[in-house]
Amino acid sequence: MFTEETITSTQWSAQVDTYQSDTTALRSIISTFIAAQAVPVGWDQTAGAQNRVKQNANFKRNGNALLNDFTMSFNDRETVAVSLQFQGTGGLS
Amino acid sequence: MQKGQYIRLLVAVAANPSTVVAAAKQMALHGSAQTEDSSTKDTTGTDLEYEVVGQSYDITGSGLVLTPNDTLLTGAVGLNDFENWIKDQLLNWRICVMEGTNNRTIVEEIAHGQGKLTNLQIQAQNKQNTTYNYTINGYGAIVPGTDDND
Repeated sequence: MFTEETITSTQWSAQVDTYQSDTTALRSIISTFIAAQAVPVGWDQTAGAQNRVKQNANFKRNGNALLNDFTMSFNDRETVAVSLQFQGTGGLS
Repeated sequence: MQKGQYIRLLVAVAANPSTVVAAAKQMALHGSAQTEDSSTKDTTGTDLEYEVVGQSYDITGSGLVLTPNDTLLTGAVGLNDFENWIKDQLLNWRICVMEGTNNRTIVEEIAHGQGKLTNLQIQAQNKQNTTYNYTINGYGAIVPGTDDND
């Protein structure tokens, strides 16, 4: 016998790992955490110079999420390893 | 960040902020927000929504204990200075971009704040080298540094 369940609620989260050498961007990450407000988060296929142009792929999603946890490892010269974890709030469109 | 620059975590006892007693070569800042469910409580509200009701963070750092004769910024450093950390004293932390000889010159500040020591591990592993690991529980707000380029 398999249990069958009814979904009563859903939630989502997203994690991004990257390297960063722009100190203005690092300050922006910290400010986003301090603000404790959901920010737009989404994913899409990209192309073009430095992959900055969104391609409006079928799998693209947009939502709002709280930057709930982040780790910065400053062991590398000139670059910082950054891990951002977002906690989704509301639905994905 | 320019070529040759590093980022360091600098920690000093708040009562004597000009004396830096540790400069971590490796560090991580873990932040978390405590949330409360604020979802719509009816049949249309299937996607969870949250309201932030509080925030907390901690910093972990690790590196080599500098020799007592080393002068980082304005203060002498060494193992003895950890005594003040253990005494439940408030600590000042700064995340700074540094450069120069032995990376002792602060170029700009990314952020700063205060905290209390919750874990300290000192390992005397090699001749002349002592490794330390610590965790600082954040106390009060994180303050982003000022970008001179703004």
